[in-house]
Amino acid sequence: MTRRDWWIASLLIAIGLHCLVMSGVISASADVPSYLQLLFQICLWMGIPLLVGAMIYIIISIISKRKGRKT
Amino acid sequence: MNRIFYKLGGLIMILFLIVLLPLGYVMVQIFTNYNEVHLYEETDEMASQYATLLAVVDDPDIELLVQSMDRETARKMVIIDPNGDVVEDSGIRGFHPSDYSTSQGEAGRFIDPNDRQEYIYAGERVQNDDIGEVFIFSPSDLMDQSAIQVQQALFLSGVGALLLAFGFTFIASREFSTPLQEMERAANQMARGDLDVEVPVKTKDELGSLSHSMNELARELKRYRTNRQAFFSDVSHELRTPLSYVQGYCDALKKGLYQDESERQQFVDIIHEEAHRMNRLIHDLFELSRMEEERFPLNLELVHIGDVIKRAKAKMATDAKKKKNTIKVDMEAKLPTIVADSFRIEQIFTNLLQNAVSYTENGHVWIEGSLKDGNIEVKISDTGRGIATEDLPYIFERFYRAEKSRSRDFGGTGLGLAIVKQLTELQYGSIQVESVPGKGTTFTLRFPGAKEGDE
Repeated sequence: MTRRDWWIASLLIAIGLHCLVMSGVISASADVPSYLQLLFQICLWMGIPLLVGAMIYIIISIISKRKGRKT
Repeated sequence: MNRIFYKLGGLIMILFLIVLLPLGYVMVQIFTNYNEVHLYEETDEMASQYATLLAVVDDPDIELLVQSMDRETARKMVIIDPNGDVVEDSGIRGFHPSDYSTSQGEAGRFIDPNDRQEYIYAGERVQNDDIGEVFIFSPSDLMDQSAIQVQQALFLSGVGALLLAFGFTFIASREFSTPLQEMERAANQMARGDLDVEVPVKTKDELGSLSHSMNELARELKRYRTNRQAFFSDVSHELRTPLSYVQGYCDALKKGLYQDESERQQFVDIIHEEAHRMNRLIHDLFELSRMEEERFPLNLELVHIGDVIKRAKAKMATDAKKKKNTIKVDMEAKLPTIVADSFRIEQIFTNLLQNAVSYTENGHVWIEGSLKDGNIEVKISDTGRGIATEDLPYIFERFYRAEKSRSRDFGGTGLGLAIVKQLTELQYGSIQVESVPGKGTTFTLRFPGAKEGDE
């Protein structure tokens, strides 16, 4: 990916996150700390599938390496 | 648009939309239904509260209560007596409980005929002899403001989720399509004849493997092209010498440039010899190229290596005698058979023995056969002049001659050992050489013994 591609993707993700956070604070107190707190929580929820995926990948890699050694 | 990036990205986005749009619709539906149920419950609860209150309130206070509700809240109230006639109402006209009662109980929807306002109502029986039932009417749009706000929030979150999906889809599509695009570029470059390509290998999956294979292919093609150029160069070089001999002696014969009949005969012999050499060279080249391209037919069968060596030795007996060499064979008893083409195996040993005899004067040639780790090992040693250390790594190469000036005198084409190596490897064997200049050379061949079921 080129630098321009990374910019486009980052911009889309940033705007998407902003929309999500704004929808979360639309009916609550819309101050900066609550915005940041919600942003952090959304990122945490986004991180969970990434973390689970990475763990599954590592486990599968370890299993296949062990199988490879046995054969 | 006809690019893998757009196709992949478009497909992933469509998949996202297939999931997100129904989910969004269902969420809005759940929220709307929840609002309605909540309004029903609230109205019903309020009707119960008023029913309890009205049971203990005096008649004059009833009117005040109804008026206060009309003034203070958006809700309306209708009180009816046991006969079903309206006692008090706060602006609702034309409501007849019997008309609107539903099977689920005394609750339902009512549209005011005057202002077309829709209400959700609930009725509750009052434990008072003068009052039969109390009905509370909540405007169906009572929660609209907050509902609209929540719907806006839902819509915004939907847009946010879509943008996130767009962003991650962009990254995923680029990551998946970039190696393919690079490989396509490399393949086009290779097709144009430019073999200096290097596709980056970033992953260990199929794409990484494919990139690696493309790099290997480019290297192989480059090697092949270099070899082919070297091959043509070698062949033309090898043919030039005999052809110039033939041409020169033909000219001499044509112009009568010989002194007597014996010289003329000598010229004819040289021409014949060189023509014969060229013929052998072309034959060897043809065989070698077929072997290198793995299009060489082999008639594989179970072969007793001892018998083959005996036949090869017999062929070389006369030449060995002429050069006063002795050939000794020492084969281990009961060697297993090997899977090979007996004619080609014999060609290998004949060639090696021929070399051993040719480069040895008044010496010895030994052939030893033994079984080592399931492999049959055959050593062909001689006491000849040996091969210089710097030449050893190259002696199996095509047209490589350790002694450029003299090897042609022995009638060699420079292809013998290359053919021997190819034939050995085609028959699952291996060949090694050791040599001490001035003392002799040993070729060691190893062939795997035949297993059960090999036929």
